[in-house]
Formats: sequence, C-alpha cells, structure tokens
Amino acid sequence: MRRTSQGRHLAATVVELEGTPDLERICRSAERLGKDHPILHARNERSKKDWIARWRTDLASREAVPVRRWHLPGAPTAGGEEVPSLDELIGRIINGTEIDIHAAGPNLIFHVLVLSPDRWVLLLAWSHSLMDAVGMTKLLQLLASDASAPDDSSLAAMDATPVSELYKQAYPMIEEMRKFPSRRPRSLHRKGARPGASRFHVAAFGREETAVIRTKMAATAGELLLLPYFASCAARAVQAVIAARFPEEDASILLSLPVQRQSDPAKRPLFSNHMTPYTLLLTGEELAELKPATSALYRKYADFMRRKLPAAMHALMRMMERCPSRFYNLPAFIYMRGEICSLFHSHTGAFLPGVDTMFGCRIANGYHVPSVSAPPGIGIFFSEHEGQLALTISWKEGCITPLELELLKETLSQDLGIPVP
Amino acid sequence: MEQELIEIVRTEILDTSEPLTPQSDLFAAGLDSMGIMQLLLAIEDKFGVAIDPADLSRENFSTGAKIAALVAGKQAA
Repeated sequence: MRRTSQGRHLAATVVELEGTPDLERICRSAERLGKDHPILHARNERSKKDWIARWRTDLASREAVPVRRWHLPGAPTAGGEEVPSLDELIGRIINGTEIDIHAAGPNLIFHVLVLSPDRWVLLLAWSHSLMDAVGMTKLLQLLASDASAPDDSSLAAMDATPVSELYKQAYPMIEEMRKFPSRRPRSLHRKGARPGASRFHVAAFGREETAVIRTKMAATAGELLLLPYFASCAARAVQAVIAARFPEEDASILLSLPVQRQSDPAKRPLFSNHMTPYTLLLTGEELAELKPATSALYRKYADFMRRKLPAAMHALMRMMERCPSRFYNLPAFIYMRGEICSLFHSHTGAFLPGVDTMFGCRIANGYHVPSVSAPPGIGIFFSEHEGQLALTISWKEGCITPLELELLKETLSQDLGIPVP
Repeated sequence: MEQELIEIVRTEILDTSEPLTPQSDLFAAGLDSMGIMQLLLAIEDKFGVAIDPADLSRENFSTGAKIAALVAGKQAA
C-alpha cells in the first residue's frame, strides 16, 4: 500500500462503552503497555544481511501509548479536540500519517471520544503490520483484565530455514495458485485509475435485526458456520458488482480468508499475525445461489485443510517476507492481470468473546474498520458482540461508484435477509 | 469417544493447556466458527461421520459429551 501511495494499511478498532471514561485509568494502561512492549514505538526495517523485515525494538523508546481525547460538537466539557462525528474520526485514523512503521514513533494510538453523557468510544488506531484482528482481540483482553503481559517480541525472531527449503514447503500452494489465472478472476480495482482515500461504511444491526439474520443463516447453513456463510454473502455481493461491470464474463471470485493455526507449538507473540491467509476460487456458477455458495466454500476450505495447504501457505508467506515486494508483485501482476484477490474478508466471529467490561465500563458494542489496498479495492467484514452483528464495508475511493455500492448493499441485504442501510 | 473429542478440541483447535471435561462449555472456552469447521473435518476423518448442516446447532456442540452423543447417533444410524 505504501509503495503505491495508498496509505499505511491502518485499521481502527471501535469499542463502544457505557458510562464515562476513566482517563486516569486509560492513561495508566497506555503507560504500562508502552513500557512493557517496545515494539509499540519501534520502526520496521529490512536487514541488509538476510533482507527479512524486523522490528527494531533495540532502538525503541518505552514511552506510553499516546492517548488522544475528542468530543462531539456542542459537548466541549468532555475535553479534548472537537470532531464532527465518530465516522469522521475513523476516516481520519485509517487515512492518517501519524502511524508510520518505517519511522520511530507510535504504532498504536488510543482515541477516547465521548458520544453522550453515558456513552463513549475507545478507538484504537493500529498498523496492520503490527498484528491482525486476533492479535487485537488478545490486546483488548489484556486491557480489559488490567494486567501486564511480558514483552514476548523475541518470539517473533525468524528461524533460519533456507529459502530453498521454504520453497519446497510452499510448493503445493504455488501449484494451487497456478490454477487461478485460467479463471481470470477480477476485483473492483480499476486498472489505470489511481486509488484514492480509504472509505468505509459500518452497518451496526440491533439485536432484533441480528436475530433475523441468524435465523436465515441457520436455515441456510446451520447455526454455527458463520465464516463460510458470511464469506459467501461478501463474495456474492462483490461478484454482483463485477458481473454488472463485465456482463460478458463469467465472473469468478478469488477470496482471501484467514485460517486459524492448528496445534501451533510456537506460541505467537501478542503483536504478530496469528492467522495465515488462504486463497480460494469460487466460480460464477458456485456463487449463483447463497446456499450452494456456502457449501462450495466449506468444501474448498475442507479440501484446503486436508491437503495441508495452510502449512504451505505459511511457508510461502515466510518466503515472501524475505523478498522485496516487487519480486512477488511482478509475477502476480503478470499472471493474474494485476489482481491479487477479488476482496478481503476476515474478522468474522465474536468481537471480544468473554469480555463484558473495559476500564470499568460495560462494553455495548465493538467492531473493526480495516483499510484495504487496491487491488482488490474492497473488503467486507462481519463481527458480532452479544447478539449485535456489525458489517463493515471498506473500499478505496475510485474502485466502486455510488451506484455499484448500492448494488453491493442490495445484494448483501437480499442474502442477509435485512436491509443494509 | 468423549475424551478423544475433547483432546482434539483442546490440542488441535483451541491449542490450550487448560483442562476440559466432557461437560465444559466449549464456546466459553473459545470454540468459534473456524474451530467448528476444523472440528467437523476431524470428526469426518477420525469417526467417518459427516454432520449435516441441520445438526450444526449450539446445543449439539456446546460440550464434548453432546458432540460425542451426536457422533455416536450418526454412527448408529
């Protein structure tokens, strides 16, 4: 993203809380977190010796994580700077420049926004290079427990597996990926157009609306298969836009999903990617109806797991960590017509399971707003907190027209069984 | 079978050292949608039983004992 001037792959995590913020307590936590984890102020640098990107924690300060205070118009007594709305603040964060992993400085920032006398938001701005949503969940659990966690960043040290060995391990995934170009998958990225700012739309469904969505899901895919169901909804929505844009093509969708590590003997450090991505292809035919699409997605996931492809994908990612991005972008752009996948989809599941309160306040709701690169130019994410589903659509300006966005929402509305505002 | 299922959940899916009993609430222990998908695969591989989507309810998967009863029922059918 940075190389193509698309921003810094930042994400915002929103935790809506009841009551009023205890700033002293939040600042204490921010101070402790910064002191315990130098990675939060470290810069990321490629070693000249092995070209692997590493966090320079040896040079980092142990400052407190910055805490910024905000208030809405008409509520200056809440303190901090004025911001027109929560969405405006999220937009500023995911398009911001304050977090820069290549320079010394904060990689995580706390924002406190008072919405009303009895409702406030803790907004965490973070770099996706620092961790993924699972890492963020672990961090939020740590904050909620008001405990310390030892610095475990040394666990992130790369092993010295030679690239030739990694290539052997990664080969099954490379073979798998060679099948993709023949289906000519597309994304919403418009070739030749320079992607603009990161945009987003959050639809936070209430408990009754979520119950309607859940009932439809249970009748279609069973009560528990959230990931294939919501991933199918997301894939079908993007496919509807691509099919409208290229009516003469049989639009296949290349879906990038996270896969949970299994029996991982190497415990991951808090600030790291806890999930391995995997990519699967869904044909236009498979996506024609929601129920078969969900079944197809689950079958392909099962096939991916049975063929032990997560390990191959993990080896491929480790290989790529050692290469300049141009090294792997170029073949991808040649063989895939410039596409890497059709959409991003992750963060599915319960938001902060097992945690009811944070900083002494009850958690009312929560969701993530990650920025996305172009290609693919779009990401669709779902999460749920205490029976309240949140849908986040994130895109790059210029990748989707207002009319196409309406088509995307309409398709999502039909599949979810409830209007997406 | 109960114990075998619990060990699969504990070591291969939740990857936890916390003890689990046949009555432990697996959702409270962290079993999520992705974990369910992995568990379904493990059940197919180890017990030769494919679970229908209609049987995928929180009730059926809430504890190791209930999953074992579901799998045993499928094997007997």
